Parts: sequence; structure tokens; C-alpha cells
Amino acid sequence: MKKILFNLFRENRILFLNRESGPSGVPSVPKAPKEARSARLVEKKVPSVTVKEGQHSDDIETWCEELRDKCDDVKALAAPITDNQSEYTHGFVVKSVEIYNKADKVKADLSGDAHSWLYTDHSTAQMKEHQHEIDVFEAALVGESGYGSTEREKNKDYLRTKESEDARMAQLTTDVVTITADLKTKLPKELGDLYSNNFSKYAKDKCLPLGIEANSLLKKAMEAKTNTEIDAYIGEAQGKIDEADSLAQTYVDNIDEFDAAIRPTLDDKTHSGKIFTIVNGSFEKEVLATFDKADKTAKGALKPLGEGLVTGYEPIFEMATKAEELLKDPSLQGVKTQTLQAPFEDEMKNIFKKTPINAEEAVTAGNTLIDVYKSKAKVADKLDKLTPELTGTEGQVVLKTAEGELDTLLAKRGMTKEDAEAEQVKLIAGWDAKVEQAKKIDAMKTEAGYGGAKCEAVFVKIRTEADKVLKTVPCEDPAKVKTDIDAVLKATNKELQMAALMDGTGKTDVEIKKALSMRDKKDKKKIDPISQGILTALEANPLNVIAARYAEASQINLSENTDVFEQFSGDGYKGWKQVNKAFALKIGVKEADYDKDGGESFKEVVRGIQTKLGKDINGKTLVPDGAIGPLTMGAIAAWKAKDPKYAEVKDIGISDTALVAAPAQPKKPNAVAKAQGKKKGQGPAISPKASV
Amino acid sequence: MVNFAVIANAELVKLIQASSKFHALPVDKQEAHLARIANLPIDVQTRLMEFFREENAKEQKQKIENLKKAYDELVELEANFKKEMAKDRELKASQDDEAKVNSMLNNI
Repeated sequence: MKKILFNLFRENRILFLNRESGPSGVPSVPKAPKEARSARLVEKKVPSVTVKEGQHSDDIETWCEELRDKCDDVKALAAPITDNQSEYTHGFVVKSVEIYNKADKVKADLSGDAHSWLYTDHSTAQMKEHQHEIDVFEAALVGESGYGSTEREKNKDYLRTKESEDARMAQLTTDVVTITADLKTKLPKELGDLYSNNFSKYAKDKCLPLGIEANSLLKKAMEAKTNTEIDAYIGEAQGKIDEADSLAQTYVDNIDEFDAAIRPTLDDKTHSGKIFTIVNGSFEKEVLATFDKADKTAKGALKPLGEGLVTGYEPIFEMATKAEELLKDPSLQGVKTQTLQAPFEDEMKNIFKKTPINAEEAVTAGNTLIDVYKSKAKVADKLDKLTPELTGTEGQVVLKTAEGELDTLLAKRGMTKEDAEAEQVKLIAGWDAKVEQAKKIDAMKTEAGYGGAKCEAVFVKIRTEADKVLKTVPCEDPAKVKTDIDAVLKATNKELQMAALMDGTGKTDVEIKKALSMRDKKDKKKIDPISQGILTALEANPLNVIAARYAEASQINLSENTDVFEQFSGDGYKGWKQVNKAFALKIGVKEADYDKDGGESFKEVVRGIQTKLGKDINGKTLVPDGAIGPLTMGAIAAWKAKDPKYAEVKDIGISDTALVAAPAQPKKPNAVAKAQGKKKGQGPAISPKASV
Repeated sequence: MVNFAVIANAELVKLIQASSKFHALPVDKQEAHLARIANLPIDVQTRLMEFFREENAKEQKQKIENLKKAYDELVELEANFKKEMAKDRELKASQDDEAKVNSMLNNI
């Protein structure tokens, strides 16, 4: 830094006189009031020398000796070469002559004037450079000696003032450099650089020229003939330095005041997060622009500007705080909700793109953005919460549609708070409707009672129809979604019922319908052998009768075109539970026990039967779910009828007699139907929970 | 030669004689200063002795540094020169080889 200072002054042709620290560099002169510094110079004492007597002389002798030896070494090294030049290249011989001469000259200098080693180079230019040091020495000698009153006074005044002004100039320059460096350390870097560059330029343009002027005035003082002239020049020089000091001080004070005003805001650690990064960036930009444009030379001009900026940004920071809280809201951290953050940041960036910012407009826009984000986040959060529930095939369709709708919503820019709210309400309501229906369908699909091949074929149809609804009916109209999906279910339910019956009995729909029709007509003579077989099988034991009633129920529903689906979701469960209970009683479970544990022990028995049977009459795996349904009943009947499919199954865990009942037994299921409040001939409703 | 004998204070003379800066002044100036110093009162001469002691101490410190610098410079020159010597030997050897080969070729 000292070197920089020195160069700076040399560039400006300022001569530093009377440097106390000698060759080590620029003296470090503490800044002190002008009067105090003058007084110090008047009372200047020669500092005590701590070097021991003769020590320097001894050192000089030692070094002279060392150097002399070294000269001899070098000469001895080079001499043979110059003597036998033919053995060496020409270039090398030239070099050897050079080094020999150099060593010789140094040795000659050593044996010459002892004083010469103060200035090692005796060239004119070098001596000229040292001339001012010799001048100063002489002036000091005269001053200390006190001879020649006029000359003494003149020199003393000059020296005192020169030293004082030199010190002040040095101090000023040191201050400029130190301040510039300090300013550079201010954060953010751009601001530090701006402060420092501005100040540095100002100091160079305005302050240092005054110093140069002061210096030339002091030179004139040195040449002046009278004390009056000397005083005038010195006074003027002091004025220049004072002015430079004052200008620099005002400038720095302004920077300090400005910085003090904005610093707490810039350093505010609570202003952190993605939105604050945007807002802080904007604030910093404004700070830089304000500082750059401001007039830094008028006293106190910058403070109000800094304070104004901070005040102006307060509502913006409040808005940013709200935004940050929203982004960090623990309830809004789902996968979909997170995708909202990037577009939110983008939109926030747009608000703060231009400089200067209109605080009021920015706050309004920011708050609107927050409101819109809240609405969008509700929608995204809803989807986040629905996602794990929508695992079924229908649920996945709904999920995909909803994701598309969410993407469309997220892509919308510049929404008003009201628009966003309306979108939110519409979408969520729509999804609720779709999800409810999808879950219903998916639940039906997973029912064991509908696990057969025929049922699956019907489900493919249901899925296709439901997909159409979900893709075409807008979510905004949940009522229509529900109606349309219900219509699909209603339209396909009859098929589903017959499919379940076919899966359960292993017969075709035509055969079943025909057999039931024959039986209803009680025209035994006209019953064909297949229908008779079906009816015989149906009436072989109470289980088959239950199956028959099950088929009958479907038949009735089919013929009367009633809303079977409604029965399923209505009291159908209850009805089917009663069917299960009838079966439980049939196999020997006591009614009290059944009622006591809600059929749990019965389910265990059924699971045992299902496991042992292993497959239904179509050869498909019989799921051991503990619930009685057409597949289980069909399998038990086939096993009982010694169907070859079950040849390997010797025992199913219940007695044969429990299952072999007289045809008179079918009263039970009728009673069940009665208990359900059905019309005569209407069987128990088929529960979607009905099992195999 | 400047006549220092005009000053009675032997210690002061010794100090002035040791001052390189004083010697750097033109001879007429040196003589003028000596003449004036010779007439100074004792207390001022004592003050001057302090002044010269301080100045001489600074000068001697500077001289030592200059001598060290000169020594270092010479050491560096010597080291570089030794390197050059080694290089030159190699160069000379290669030139000799080349000359021998040329001579042989010419003979052939």
C-alpha cells in the first residue's frame, strides 16, 4: 500500500521531503490537528539512538571484508577466462570481462571514500534523486545549529510547514487508500466497489490536486525572500490542504451516513429465503442506483436518501415475509404443491424486474400473487392428498385428468385472486365427485364376488364408459359427473349381476334365465333336461337354494329394471350379511355365538372351507376371504355332488350332514328376504361386498 | 581538504567527519558550516552532537544495507556466471566435436 501511495504521489510529481523512516518507505504519520502537529514539530527532539557505540562501524567493516572477499572470488573466477580467451566462446568471454570489471569496481569503491556507501550508485541521476535528502539534512543542520537568524527562521518555518503538510498529505493519501480499501469490504461487493470507486475518483479529481497545489506553494515559500511572503505561501498551502481534507471528509461522511441508513436492512438475517433473495436483490439494485445518482458533495445529502429507501421497502419486506411463510408452510410441502414454488418465484421476479420499484404497486402485485398461490396450493395439496388413495385403475384415470388440470392451472399467469379462488373451488369439487365415483367402481372391481371371468369382461366395459365420462364431463360440474357415472353403473349393473351369476353357477345366462322361468311356471313337464339339471342342482341343498335366490334376485331386477346398484349401496350389505348368517347357522354355528362376534368366527370357518376347496367351479383360485358368495357356494355344491374337480378334496372342515338339507329348508333365505322387507319372490339384495 | 580543526570539540568533529551527508555537501558549504559551528555556544554544540549521532546512526544502518545488497548482487552474479561457465563448456565441447567431424569429412 505504501508503494501505491508513493507511486501515486510520484505520478503527481509530489516530493516527499524529510522522510523519517528512511528507505523502508512512507512514514506512518498519525493524524493530528494542524496546531498540534505544528507544535510537535517546533518541539521536535532528536530520538535517542539505541545502537551500541561502534556497533555500526564494526558491522560495516565486517560487510566490507565479506564483500572484498567476494570480489576476489569473482575476479579469480573470471580472470583465467579473460587470460585464455581462445578456449571459450566469444559471448562467454564478454560475460567474464563484465563480471570481472564489476567485481573490480566494487572492490575499488570499497577501498575509496568510506562515505560513498551511503549512496551506492554515484551516477548523476542517482545523486540528483538524493539531493533533496541532502538539502533537508543541511536545512536541519542549520535549524539545529541556530546560526543565521533570517535563514534559520526561514528554513525552520519551511521545514516545520513542509513536514506538517507532507505529513498531512501523507495522512490524507493514507486515509484515501485506507478508506477506499475499507469501503471495498462493505457488502454486498457491488456496493463496496461503488463506494470505493466513487470516493477514489473523487479524491483523485478533487482532493489530490489541492495537495499538489499546496506542494508547489510550499516550494515557493522556500524560494521567498521575506518572512511575510513565506507566511503567505504557507498559509495558502495550509488552506489548500484544509480544503482537500474537508472535501474528502464530507464525502466520506455522506457515504457513512448512507451506509448506516441502509446497512441494517442489508444485513438483516431474517430476510432469508427464495423470495427474499429476489426482494433483497431489488433493494440492493435500488441502493446502488440511488447512491450512484446522488450528489455526494453536499453535506448530509445521502442520509435521507438511504432512509427513504429503507422506509419505502418496509411494506415490500412485509409482503416477502408473508410469501416466505407460505412457501415454508408445513402443510403445503407435498410433491404437487412443491411444483408451484418455481412459477411463484418466476412471477415474483417479474414484479421486481424494473428499477426503481413502485413500492405500492409491487406490494399489491406481490399480495395478489400470494393469494393466487394459496388457492393454487390448495388445489395442488388436494391432489397430493388424493394421490395415495387413487391406486385403482379408475382412480388412476381420475388422477391423470386431475394432474392435467393442475398443470393447466399452474401455467396460468397473471390470475386475479378471485379467478384463482373460483378455479380452486371448481376443481376441488369436481375432483371430489370424480374420486368418489372412481373409488366406488374400483371397490366393486376388487369385490371377490365379482372376481370371475364374466365379471371382468363387464368391468372392462364399465371402465371404458367411465373413462369417457371422466374425460368429457368437466370437473366443474360435479353433479353431472356423478349423474353420468351413476348412469354408466346403472346401465352395466344388470350385466354385472348376470355375469356374477354365470361365474357362480358355471351356466350361461340363457340357461339360468330359462331354468328360473320354468321353475316359476312350475311346468315341470316342459322342463328340458339342462334346466332340470340346473334346478336340481339349485334345490339339492339350501346353499344352492341361496344361489338360486341370488340368481332369482338378479332375474327380478333384470325383468323389472330396478336400480340394483342402489340396493348394493343401500341396505344390500345387511341383506347379504343375513345370507351369510343363514349359512353359518346351517353349518352348525350357534346364532348367539354368531351375533356375539359379528360373524368373525364364522368367517374363520369359511376361510377354512375356501382354502381346502382351493378353486371355484371354473377352476379359478378361490380367495379365502371368509365371505360366502356364489363362487364359494357353487364350489361347496360341486364338492358335495362329488364333482371330479374336487376329487382330491376329502374334507372341507364341516360335516356333510350340515350341508345336506331337505329341500324344505329354503324357507331360511326367504325369511332373509322378508327380513329385508322385499316383495315376495324378491331375493336378498346382492352386496358389493359379497364374496366368492 | 576541509579543515575540521577549526572546531575545538573533538567529539563533534569525529561525528561530523563520520557524516556522509555532510561530506556530500559541496566543499565550500562544508567549510562555511564548520566555520559557523566553531563559533556556536557549547549547549548548541551538544545539541548538534545529538543531531549528528542520530543522523550517523541512520546513515550507517543504510550503509550496511547497501553493502549487504552489493554482496548479494555479487553472489547472484557469481552463481549465474558459474551456470554460464558450465553451459559454455558444453557448447565448446560440441563445437570441438563438430570441428573434428568436419575435418574428418574433409579428409575423406
